[in-house]
Amino acid sequence: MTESGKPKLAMYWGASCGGCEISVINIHEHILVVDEIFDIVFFPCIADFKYHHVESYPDKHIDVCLFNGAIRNSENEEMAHLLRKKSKVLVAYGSCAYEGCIPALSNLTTKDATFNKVYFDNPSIDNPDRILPQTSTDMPEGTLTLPTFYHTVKSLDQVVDVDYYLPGCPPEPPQIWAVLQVIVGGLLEGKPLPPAGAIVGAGTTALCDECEREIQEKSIDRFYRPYQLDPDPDQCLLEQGIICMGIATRSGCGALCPTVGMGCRGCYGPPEGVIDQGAKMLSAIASVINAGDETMEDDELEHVIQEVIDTIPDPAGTFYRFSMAHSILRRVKNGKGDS
Amino acid sequence: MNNSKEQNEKVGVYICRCGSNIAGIIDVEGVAKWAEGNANVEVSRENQFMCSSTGQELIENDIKEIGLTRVVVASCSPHMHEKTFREATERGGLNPYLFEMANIREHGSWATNDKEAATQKAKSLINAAVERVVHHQPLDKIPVDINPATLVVGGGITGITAALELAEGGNKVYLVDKEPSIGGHMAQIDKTFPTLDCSACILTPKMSDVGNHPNIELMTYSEVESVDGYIGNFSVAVTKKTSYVNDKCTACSDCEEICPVSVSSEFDVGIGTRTAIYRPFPQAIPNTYTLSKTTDDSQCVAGCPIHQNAHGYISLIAQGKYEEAVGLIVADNPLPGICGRACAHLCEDVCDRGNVDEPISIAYLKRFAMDKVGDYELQRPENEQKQRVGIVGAGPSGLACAYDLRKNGYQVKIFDALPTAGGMLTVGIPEYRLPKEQLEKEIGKIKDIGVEFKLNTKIGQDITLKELEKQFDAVYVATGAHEERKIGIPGENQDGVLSGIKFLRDVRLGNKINLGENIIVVGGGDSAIDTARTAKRLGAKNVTIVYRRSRKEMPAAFYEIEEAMYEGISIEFLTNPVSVNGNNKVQEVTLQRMKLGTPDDSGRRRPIPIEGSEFDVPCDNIIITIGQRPDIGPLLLKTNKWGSVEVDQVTLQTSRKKVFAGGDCVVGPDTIVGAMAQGKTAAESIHRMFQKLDMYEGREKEGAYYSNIKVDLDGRVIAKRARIPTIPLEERDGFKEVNLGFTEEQAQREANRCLHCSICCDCHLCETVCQPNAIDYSMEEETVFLSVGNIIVATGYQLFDSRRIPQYGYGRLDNVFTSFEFERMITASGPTEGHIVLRDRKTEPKRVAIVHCVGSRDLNYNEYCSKVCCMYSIKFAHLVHEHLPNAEVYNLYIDMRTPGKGYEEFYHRLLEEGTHFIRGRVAEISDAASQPEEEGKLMVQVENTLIGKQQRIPVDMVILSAGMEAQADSAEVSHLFKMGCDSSGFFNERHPKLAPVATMTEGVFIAGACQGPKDIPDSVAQGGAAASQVASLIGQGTVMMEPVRASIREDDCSGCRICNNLCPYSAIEFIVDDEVSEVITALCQGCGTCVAACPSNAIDGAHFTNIQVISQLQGMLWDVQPEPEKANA
Amino acid sequence: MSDHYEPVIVGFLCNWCSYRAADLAGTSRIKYAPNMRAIRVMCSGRVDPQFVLTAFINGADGVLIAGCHPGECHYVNGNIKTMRRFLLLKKTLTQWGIEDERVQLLWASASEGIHLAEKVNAMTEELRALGPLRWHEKVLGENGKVPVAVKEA
Repeated sequence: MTESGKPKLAMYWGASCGGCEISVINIHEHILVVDEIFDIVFFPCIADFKYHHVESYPDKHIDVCLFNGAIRNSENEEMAHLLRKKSKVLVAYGSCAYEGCIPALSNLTTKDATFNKVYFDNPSIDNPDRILPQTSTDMPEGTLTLPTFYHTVKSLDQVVDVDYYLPGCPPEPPQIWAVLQVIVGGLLEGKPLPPAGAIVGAGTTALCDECEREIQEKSIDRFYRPYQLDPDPDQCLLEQGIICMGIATRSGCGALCPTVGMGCRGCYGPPEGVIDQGAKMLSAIASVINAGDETMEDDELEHVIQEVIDTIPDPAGTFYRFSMAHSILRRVKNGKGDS
Repeated sequence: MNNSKEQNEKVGVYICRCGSNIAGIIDVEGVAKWAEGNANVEVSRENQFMCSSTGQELIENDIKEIGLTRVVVASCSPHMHEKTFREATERGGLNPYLFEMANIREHGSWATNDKEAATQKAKSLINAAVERVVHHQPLDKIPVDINPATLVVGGGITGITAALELAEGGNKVYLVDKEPSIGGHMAQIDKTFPTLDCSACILTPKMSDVGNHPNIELMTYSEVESVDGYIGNFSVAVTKKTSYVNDKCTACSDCEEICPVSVSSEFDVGIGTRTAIYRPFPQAIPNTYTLSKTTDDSQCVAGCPIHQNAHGYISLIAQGKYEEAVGLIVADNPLPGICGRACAHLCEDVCDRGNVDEPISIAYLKRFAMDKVGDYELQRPENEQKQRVGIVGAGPSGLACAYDLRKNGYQVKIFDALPTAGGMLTVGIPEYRLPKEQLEKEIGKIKDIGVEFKLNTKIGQDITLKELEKQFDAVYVATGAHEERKIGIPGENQDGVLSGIKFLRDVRLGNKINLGENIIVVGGGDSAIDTARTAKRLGAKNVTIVYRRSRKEMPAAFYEIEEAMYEGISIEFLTNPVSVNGNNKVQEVTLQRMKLGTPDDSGRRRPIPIEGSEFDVPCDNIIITIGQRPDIGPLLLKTNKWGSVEVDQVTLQTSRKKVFAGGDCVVGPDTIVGAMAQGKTAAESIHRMFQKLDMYEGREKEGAYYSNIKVDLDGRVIAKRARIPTIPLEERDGFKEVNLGFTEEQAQREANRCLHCSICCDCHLCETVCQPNAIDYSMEEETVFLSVGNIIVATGYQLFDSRRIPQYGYGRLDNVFTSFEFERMITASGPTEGHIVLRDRKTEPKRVAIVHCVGSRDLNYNEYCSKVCCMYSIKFAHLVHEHLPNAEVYNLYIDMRTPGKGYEEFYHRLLEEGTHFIRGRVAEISDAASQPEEEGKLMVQVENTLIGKQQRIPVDMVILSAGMEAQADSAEVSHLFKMGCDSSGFFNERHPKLAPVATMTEGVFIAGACQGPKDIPDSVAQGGAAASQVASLIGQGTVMMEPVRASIREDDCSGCRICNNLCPYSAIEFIVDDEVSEVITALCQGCGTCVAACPSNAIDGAHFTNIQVISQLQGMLWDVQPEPEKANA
Repeated sequence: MSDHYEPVIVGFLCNWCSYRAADLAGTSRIKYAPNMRAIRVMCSGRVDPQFVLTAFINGADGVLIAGCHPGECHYVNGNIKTMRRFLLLKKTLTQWGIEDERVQLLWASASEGIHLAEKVNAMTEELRALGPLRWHEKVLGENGKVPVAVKEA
């Protein structure tokens, strides 16, 4: 609310877990610098600003708005439009805003099925009257309203224009700090800003670039889920049959998961130039399945390959864990089109 | 209505009417008009014939005048005219790859009658082409230099032709053939249709031209191992198989004459035989011999613990070369006659002949040779060594050890506790099996070569091991196992209870034994039988062997058991003694019945006592022969819990460095050869120790091992093994030898049963007769690397295996022949000197049936027509008429196929010669007579489809005109050369009409029958065609290759290596230093598989980039797609 | 406007076998359903699953991937990789609720024009039975467009 010449920073959450806010705090002592160089004008998680404050700001009042979380309901969308209007630079912050992330996994099912799971068919729920949230409920005191729950989770850029994307679930502190510096440099010192629509705070190639494991030619006999195998500490996980999304995931995190023996989940999204992370991952690992050769009869061929494929229980959920909303098809069929 | 909103390129669209071919169905004008709606389209025209010069000029002019930057032609298939229009585009001044074609004829107007749909589809295809071409990149063809050397694979008439054509043109040619000689199938043929000129006469001159040509490097008996590289620059690894004959060979044939081996000849397809060292046929090129020899030993040699060269002496016996046989035997074995009698002949258990009928009687053949020759000499050392070796125990182990050490010149002295040498051979095996004289004779031979013996000297008693260690540089302990085990039942220690081993020893040493009338022998091994038969000979009335398992489990030799029973010895199976009754003197024994339970460690079923089945049997003596154990005594050697000496498993070295031990005292009671093998192993170890050689290296094949040789067993004639003659029962009261040994002709016949599983029998006779010293047993397989620019594959075909049609009886009915058997038969130089005879090699057939289409035009086997069979069947008919003027000939055909110059005329000629042509597929050929006159005939059952009648034709001989098949290994070969083959295994040509000898791999050509069934003229033509294509490439010096290639953007590659092993051409390389992958452009064939696989979009597939294909896709779906929307472009 | 629905199939045909098969079908004047629109690729191994999804988002009702028979691939074994990808893609698309009939794999040699034509006919019928996919309109419910190839009765 102060009116110093400092650039104004906002951060808001759509459908998210809160991890992104923590990640900002997680830039350690830099947060003090952030506080020093920015005026925080909207940041529900750490400062008490209300909707009407934002409404009251003139357009483009906010210099940088970090928007995290996906677009799950009408409130998310409304805030996205509002903050777009009020911000000079709108950053899709974190995987949810960028490509849907975990919330968008519900695009693998329907709104009804989701409600059913959340409000009825669920061991921790006791809802004998089968009450569902209503968008508006009349009470003696007046009418209560709730936002509309969308059938399809969307990424931020599917509802408003986005200037930059900062991938990661959540983004890595060093990257966050680097991005903030660049943007500030641009806003205050007129330094060149990255081109609009750029993905910042990450590399361009795939994660293998940063991975310390030994990489060999690949030929995979079968796939294992993490609990099924104690992986060799030095060899590429994928070569051992553990699905590691690293080959189809943008670098930038420093290969944290593979380093500790867990296959990359893919939270940084696809590398530069890849349209659909899941499809590419699928194509790549299917290509190196070590089953079937040209001497086999068609049936045998299909059989031996299918056997290996059957060791991947949930391809969609695995390959599109973070990028579902941003994938080419965005959601699964069945269920009527609403938005 | 279509994608691009603003104009990025000036595209010219040209729609061909193709007369009415396209315009008849598609509204060409409408489409042309519509196309103008695309923002990128500068001009859209239609034309009568775009491929005509006017059509092409249209393009050229528009490029020049309107300044088009891209060209789209909608007409026929790109396979038809893409090249044409690319050239037009280039003439217009644009890069030819800035052109794209829409196939609206083959995929459009010709594929439907629905005008509206066809028009709609045309719009889609054209819009797709426009959207695609906008993203095209200019590309340049890739120049590649051509190495003028050429590899020709396959030395049949096709390969020969190709090789000569190229060589004549002054180019280097490598001609590789897997057989010892070139010539292929044509060399096996007698006459060629329809001209009937002699195949050999026209082929052999060409063969020798190849042999003599300065530009041709001939590599026979060789196979292509690997092919790397690309057109102009192939690197080929060729493996030269070991022929064991070097280039000094003068083809004098001395070796062939002396070789004792006879196997069926590949060249004469089984109706003739050849020797182990051979030349496929007299005119072979190169004219040199080849010794066929497997890497593993024959089964009998491998299975023998001392690797006695049984195969060798059997072959020599078959030839009546007894002296040589004995020489071979004694080279490995100092106890030949003894082994010939008493050996457990493990060799016979593994003999492959046993899988046909019965194993060869190998041991008795050895005895035969030794008896026949009588006197012999063991090998003497070439030069003496000073080292001295002391051997404890004059049994087979010690003697074998002594012989091998002596052969190396070491000084050997053998000690034994007994008064005679021979150990168990003397005191363990009864005389009627192994006469004293035999033993003395062979021990004598060992003395002759300078081995000393000191008898009556017991170690640890008369002399200690320590002393021996002082006196000798090495000691071998082989004291055997002479102590009988006890059963451990009550009353076992009374008088009258004897140890079998002691009993036999006393008998052999002439010690006094008082034996009663009723004898019970306990045990089931050879010594039980020996004991029983000996007791019988000492006058016992009733001798009964008691054995706790059944006959099946009885370890004693089958033949021995037979003999024992024949001599009146009774055997109580499944019976075991439980107590010996009497007071200090045996009176009776209590026996108990047993039943068999589950198998124990020995794999034999464990005997279980049956409660309450006990019964008493009166007897005077019980002789226990349940097995011996070693009696080492105070030797100061480490022993295990069974009292056996502990040794190093490979070297037989004991706890004391200089002392080695082996034989029964180490392994427990074993066979004679088993003991000898250990002696030989010890000798080898001691030799290595003296010579300071590695004690372990290369000893894997010491002792018996399993040989991996596989021989073709089917079609072998059953011939039971010879039975050894024995003396009559009445003469068996004394200890006269029971077995008499084979007669000469018994031995000959027996030896001739050998299958020669390793082909060469290692007798080395050929070495001895080869004047130029061309034979080299030490020769090894070698791999040579060739650099060539082009490859011609002419690997030919194989004949359909008629056995696969059981109802035709080939292999079962003697007088059913295959076409090639007949070819060889009819050839003057063939096994029957050109006489047409039945299998008996005498009888001339009076009636001959020739069956067409065997395995061809038959959905059960090969659907295709083999093309040559009709013609050669007619030729056969003619040849039969010629050789046997009175014979009736029946040709049974489905359709007569005689296309080709002079073919039909030849057929007519045969009709006049009186051949019976019957139209119908033969149902069955059998020797089952339904009427008396059919007796002894082959009945050919066929439906004569011209008269619609079933016919049974009685004949003496049937010739099956088997079809042509791709070589059995064609799939691997096509893989090797990256050609691909069809479902029948024939190699794929690049184009069935326009590129019949080219393959999908640039620089690799195919010719002849490997591409599909062909006769000689066609094969020769293809050989020439392939050669001229190669010659043209060599002439060009460099070729331009399609630029449709993959390339990796280094900056975008994360080095994940997904693509590395996807490329069938190994074009992708991982650059370790930069941690990125790279495409070797010249190797890439442009399939794009790696592009689709690359998970980080780092690989570009030139002319098929993602953006190009996706734009084409979106343009194609213009009528169904949503408005393009920013998030999903 | 009687809204008569004509399925739209995108066919990825390999240059050496299946594209030639389609050529042969035309040359031999075999009449078959005009619903397939062909894209020529050098090898079925070039077909990137992204292409298939892009076809669907752009309104295709089905995708046909056609290559040489196993063992006859002109690039030795590109079609084997195609098969591996195809099977994994199919398993994934099933989770998307996309019916098996909508993505099909065909082996057709250059001589099998009739085989290819029959396959296209069969697939067209199967898709007609399933009804339109038209992803944007029916699944995402955005920017929907009316079905095409409307015919006057």
